[in-house]
Amino acid sequence: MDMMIFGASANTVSGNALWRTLLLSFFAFMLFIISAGTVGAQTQRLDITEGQIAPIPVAIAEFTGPDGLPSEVGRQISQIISDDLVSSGLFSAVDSAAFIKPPESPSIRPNFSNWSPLGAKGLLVGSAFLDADGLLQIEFVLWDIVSQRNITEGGGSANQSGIRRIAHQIADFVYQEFTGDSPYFDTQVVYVSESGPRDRRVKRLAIMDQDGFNHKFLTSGLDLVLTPRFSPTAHEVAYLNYFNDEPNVYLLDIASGRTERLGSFPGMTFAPRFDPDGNKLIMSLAQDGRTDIFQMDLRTQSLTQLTRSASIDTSPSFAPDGSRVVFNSDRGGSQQLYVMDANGKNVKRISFRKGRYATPVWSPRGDIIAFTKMFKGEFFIGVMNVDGSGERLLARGFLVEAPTWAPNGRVLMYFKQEPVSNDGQGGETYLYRVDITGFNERRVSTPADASDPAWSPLLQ
Amino acid sequence: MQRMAQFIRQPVALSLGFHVLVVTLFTVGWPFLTSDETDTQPLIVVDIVRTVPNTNLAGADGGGKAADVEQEETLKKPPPPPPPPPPAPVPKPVAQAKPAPKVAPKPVVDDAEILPSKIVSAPVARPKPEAPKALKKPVSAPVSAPVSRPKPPQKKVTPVPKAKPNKLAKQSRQKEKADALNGLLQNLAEATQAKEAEENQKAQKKALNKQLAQNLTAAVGDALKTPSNSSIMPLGVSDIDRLRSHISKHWTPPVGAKGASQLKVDIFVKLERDGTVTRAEIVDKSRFNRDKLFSVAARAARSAILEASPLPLPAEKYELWKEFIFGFDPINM
Repeated sequence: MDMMIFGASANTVSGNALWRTLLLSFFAFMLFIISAGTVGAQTQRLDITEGQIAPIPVAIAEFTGPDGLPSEVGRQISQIISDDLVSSGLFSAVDSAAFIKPPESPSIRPNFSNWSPLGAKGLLVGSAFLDADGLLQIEFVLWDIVSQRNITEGGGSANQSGIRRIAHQIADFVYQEFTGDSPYFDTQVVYVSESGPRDRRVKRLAIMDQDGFNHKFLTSGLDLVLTPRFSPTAHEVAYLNYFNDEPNVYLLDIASGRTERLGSFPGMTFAPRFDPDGNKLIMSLAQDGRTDIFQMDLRTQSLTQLTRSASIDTSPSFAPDGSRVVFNSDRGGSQQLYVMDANGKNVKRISFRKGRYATPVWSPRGDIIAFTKMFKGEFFIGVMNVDGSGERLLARGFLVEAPTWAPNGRVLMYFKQEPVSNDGQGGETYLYRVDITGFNERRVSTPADASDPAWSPLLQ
Repeated sequence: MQRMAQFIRQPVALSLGFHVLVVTLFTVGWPFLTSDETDTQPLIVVDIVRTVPNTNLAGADGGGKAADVEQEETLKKPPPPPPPPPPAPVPKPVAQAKPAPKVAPKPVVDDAEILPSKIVSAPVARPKPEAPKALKKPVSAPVSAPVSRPKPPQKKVTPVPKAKPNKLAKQSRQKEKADALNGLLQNLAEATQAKEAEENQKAQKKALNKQLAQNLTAAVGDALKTPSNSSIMPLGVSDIDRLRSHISKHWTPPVGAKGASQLKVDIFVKLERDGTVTRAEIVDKSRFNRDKLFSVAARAARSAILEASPLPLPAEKYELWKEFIFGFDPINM
């Protein structure tokens, strides 16, 4: 018994030691985990959520000739590129007078220490000259001055009439590389040029580059023309032509100038819009006191009715994927925006704020819808998300109307009319454009009053 | 009980018991350890050894001189040797541990940085576990000795007194009594010797456990202090605000592009002590190569870092921020 008792007490002692060892091992393990975790977390992290919204400074060197000196055509090209970029509101051009040593050739790596002090983030260097055949030979390199890396480069040849286009295309490269957006400088705008007294207004279709150059009239002005719409796939324009007070829809091939009459549509106030494939037109037609939305197959010219209501449904516009249509309707008691499937089903109202909404246009990138809004005697150009949220008003005026999208969905163009005073003065109508952020509203230069702009897709 | 002991010794059973008792160990285990008086004693004893080197204890212990020499060496070092920090519930050791906390708030760069590195490399924790070894014996002996040993000798003595009741026998009885007393005293002496031997074993085990605990806490304490430094000198709110504001001035994110508000870019940055950026890398390189908009956003973020160089960061906290990941998130723009 004694031995057993002693033995038991001995076992108790060794059990305590084991227990203690277990405890110590456990705590050692846990502390090791903790310490390992803290040791591993050496790299600090900090989130930056606010930055500067400011134009990106870019140095655009005058394009040089074979001798390394700026060529005449090179100067012209550099100026077009600079104007394009600055007009977007997203770039500022570094004054060339501040250049320490202008670059001589795009094949020579620039000395970045000469450019960093100027605050430039990008440097465009190029060469442009006419070869023995009279063709324009051009090369360019875009440098990131901060990281001292070549961002992009390119080159090609063109005839002398293509100088402006090739300059727009180089500007598109720069724009794309610094903004991440698809480009829009190599595009055109068709609009209605207005002239003459108000009671005998002459309205003609005209076309120009997006920067106002290469202006050209497309119609004679004998007939009243309205609301041109660009085809998304072909260089064609659909528009309304009033003849004997009856609206007719015409299709104009811009390159050849040939027109095709699609038909007469009594009660039509807006020209049809194309679907994304360019094979269909969507329009509103007034019949029996009702205005509904129809779709026309351009190959068969057959009409399909999409809405059937006692209200006025008008100004339809396709989503870029062709699956849905946005339009305005007064079916709810006031003029609001609605979205429906392309077959006319699942109609859903998306605008709910005060005021009347009109002329919705779906953005080419699909995420937002532009519209005209009338509220308290003023007009506004605004955008909202496709579900109606996030409404933002970008421009306001006595009359602002007819928004049209640049092909990248980043810039809106519209016309703005000034009020007419009692003595008949005023009433000027001009084209304007604005970035969808609401910044950089600019007037577009036209030879006369202008309205109803339609922005083309990127030129082929 | 023997089965129980065998069962506990099996490795599988140990592992099982270890996992099952995790929660219990947290709640019960720590007080169990800390409640033992002997765990706190060595910290006091260290001071005694250092200040009284010529006591009998020191003279009896052959290792005393060596311990003193080591302690003197540590005292001679210009910077006070960082003590192996115990969990520090005892007030006295705090006085020794003070130099470390004092250095931290000082704006002096070198002290703040040299201290943690010395703690890591120098095995300063060794001297202390040795000192407690020599001093444990007297401390633990009186506590444990009276508890377990006296009973067995008494039981052995009790059957002896039976004898015949003669006159002659009285003398012999007296002799026997005297012998018995002598035997009892001998037994008691043997018992006390055995007691002392067992106490010595216990004391050694306790000393080993204590040493193990001290080594572990010292090592983990060093690990926690030295490399991460986050608990000692974190970046302050003003440091972070100044840094964020400085970088924001140089960041021009692509605003307005489709999906731009959801573009978050991480840039890994290496820095010199003066805040100069020596490396700025886009973390998600695969997306950089395949996603145009992301590549633009990433370039803008990297440019912001490069342009913002040198970054305004406190040099005395360099160990904290020599590597940084900046997340550029335009969600608020």
